[in-house]
Amino acid sequence: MRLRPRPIVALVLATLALSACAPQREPLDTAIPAAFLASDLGITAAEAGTSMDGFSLNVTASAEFDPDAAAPSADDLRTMLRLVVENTPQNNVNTLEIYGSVGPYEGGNAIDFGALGVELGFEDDNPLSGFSAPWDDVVELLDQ
Amino acid sequence: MTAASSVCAPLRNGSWSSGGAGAFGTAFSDPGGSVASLVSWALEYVAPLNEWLDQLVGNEGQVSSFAANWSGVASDLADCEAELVASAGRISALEGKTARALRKRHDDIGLVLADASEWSSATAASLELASSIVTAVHDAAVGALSELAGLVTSLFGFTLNPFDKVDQLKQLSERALAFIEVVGDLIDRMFDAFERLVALLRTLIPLIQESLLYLRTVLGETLRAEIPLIGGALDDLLARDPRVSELDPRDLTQKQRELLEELNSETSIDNFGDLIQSNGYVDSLGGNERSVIDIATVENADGIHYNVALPSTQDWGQIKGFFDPSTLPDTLKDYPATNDLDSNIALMILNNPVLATQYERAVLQAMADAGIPEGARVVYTGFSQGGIMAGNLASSTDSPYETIGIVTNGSPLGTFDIPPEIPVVSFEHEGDVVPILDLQAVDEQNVESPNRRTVVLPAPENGDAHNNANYVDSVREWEGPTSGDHRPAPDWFGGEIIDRQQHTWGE
Repeated sequence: MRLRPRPIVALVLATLALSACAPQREPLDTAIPAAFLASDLGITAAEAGTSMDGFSLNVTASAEFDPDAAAPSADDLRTMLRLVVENTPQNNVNTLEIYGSVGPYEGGNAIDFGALGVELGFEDDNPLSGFSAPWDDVVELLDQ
Repeated sequence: MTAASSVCAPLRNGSWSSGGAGAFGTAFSDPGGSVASLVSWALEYVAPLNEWLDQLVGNEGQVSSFAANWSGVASDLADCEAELVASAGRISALEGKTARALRKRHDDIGLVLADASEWSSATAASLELASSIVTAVHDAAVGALSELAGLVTSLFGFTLNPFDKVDQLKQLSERALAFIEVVGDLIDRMFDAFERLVALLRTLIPLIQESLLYLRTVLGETLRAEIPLIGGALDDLLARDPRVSELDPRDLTQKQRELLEELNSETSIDNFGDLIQSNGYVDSLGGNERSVIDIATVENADGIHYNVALPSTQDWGQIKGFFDPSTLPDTLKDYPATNDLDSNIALMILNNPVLATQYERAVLQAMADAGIPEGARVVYTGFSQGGIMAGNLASSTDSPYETIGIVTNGSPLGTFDIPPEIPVVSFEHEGDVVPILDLQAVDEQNVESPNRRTVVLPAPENGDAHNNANYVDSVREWEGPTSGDHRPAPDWFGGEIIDRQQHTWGE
């Protein structure tokens, strides 16, 4: 028996065509840390990655801050959010999370980015120290 | 009614359009005609109408071409169904294991094709109606402009009295304003209707993704040599055992380390929500870099048992591009996590008691490494693919452990032959397409085994039905407050946590 799944082939080709047309951007796991380190936020190390929750794609970035620099502010968080959004090639992100510590994370030196997010108008329902919000809400904030 | 049918009905009947294309018609003259020329000075009074007209001309063609594309897809699918029927006829006379397997595949494909045919033709019908609405609104704008042109001609004929011009200009302005209000209202209504249409079409996206996954996997088994996707599943079955080790916090990101600290600070398992939350924790601890399972040693009045939380799919492999074309360059990369598309397919389609997947072999190795003695009582819990693995382990006839229960969320379990004495609780969000991949009705499953309970939860407000974080919220809502008047958790999984370990591996 030979089946000819033409609609599937058409969809695959269409998706490939879309991809071919799209400019290839640097992956976020290198682009976001590079952008963090190039900023004047006092970040000494950074990483970024994605994870899946079912079909939802989440982007998480974390940063180590210079212990001798001033503690990050809500404006600094806004800058970090902008850098994440600008350096994320994916179009279907569901949630964005930001974590940070003063120096390498050791358990007690986490920065309360959830509280800084509240200053920007977000809810802090993350049981951990990080900032967590729907991607679209972050983009809306940055557009204001 | 299938999930596709419930979406297709409003698409096909046009309820999203609030009255169909007829509701967008007007009594203006010259429908479908061309705009009579206006004197240049009068154009500024009707500028919005002219701009709308230009935009509508473009959109009309665009919507029509989309509708034609979908009609083509529906037609191709109908051809496939016809081929399938003919092919089924040819093998109907054959006997033997292979022929029976082929017939089963025909049935599987037939069901998915029927669904796909339904949603593609419904989409085509809805886009054709959308095209008609654009045409109706376009005609209204043309009619308004034509009537205004006629008015200009009749009002601004030759006159010697300059004060007549003022009065005539006032009349023209009033008419232009009235037309702009009417057409503007039509366009507002059109966009409202289109917003409803887009919302309906969006609900089809996960159904289409699942259809693709299901079709490709079933076709893959039939055309094993031709479709590379199934090759990954076979490779998975034949791959060497992954090296399992205890999770080292130094390998984790800050978020993962905080999660691990949170998980290991818990002192008891009190309710279903705690179990469902641990499913999300193992996913976050692993991501696509590694597979992680959480093993809690729990003590209660019945003695000691082990709760094992299993991870869900973290690497969608060759179908990543369907989620987002920008991920296609990533498509052929096989990440270290073994809870990926390959093992998903191997678990669901190529279920073979001799050839266990890498994922399954690693789970059993991790359980042994964690010190779970043979014959120990075990509860498995998992979200999505983690729940599939739970069903797989519980239905295994040669497991070294005694399965005393399964708790899953967002997993299709209907095809697993789980012994009826094992309690199974499955949570399903309304609108989550993954649990219904087994094509079995909830009532049918519950009747089959008195110990099997499927709890259908309302769809989450943000629309992400297949999402563990949303399942945690829904299950906690369903259980009620953790103290006072709440649903008691079954004795078989709750109790005090006396030890907790996380183990990891990669391919």
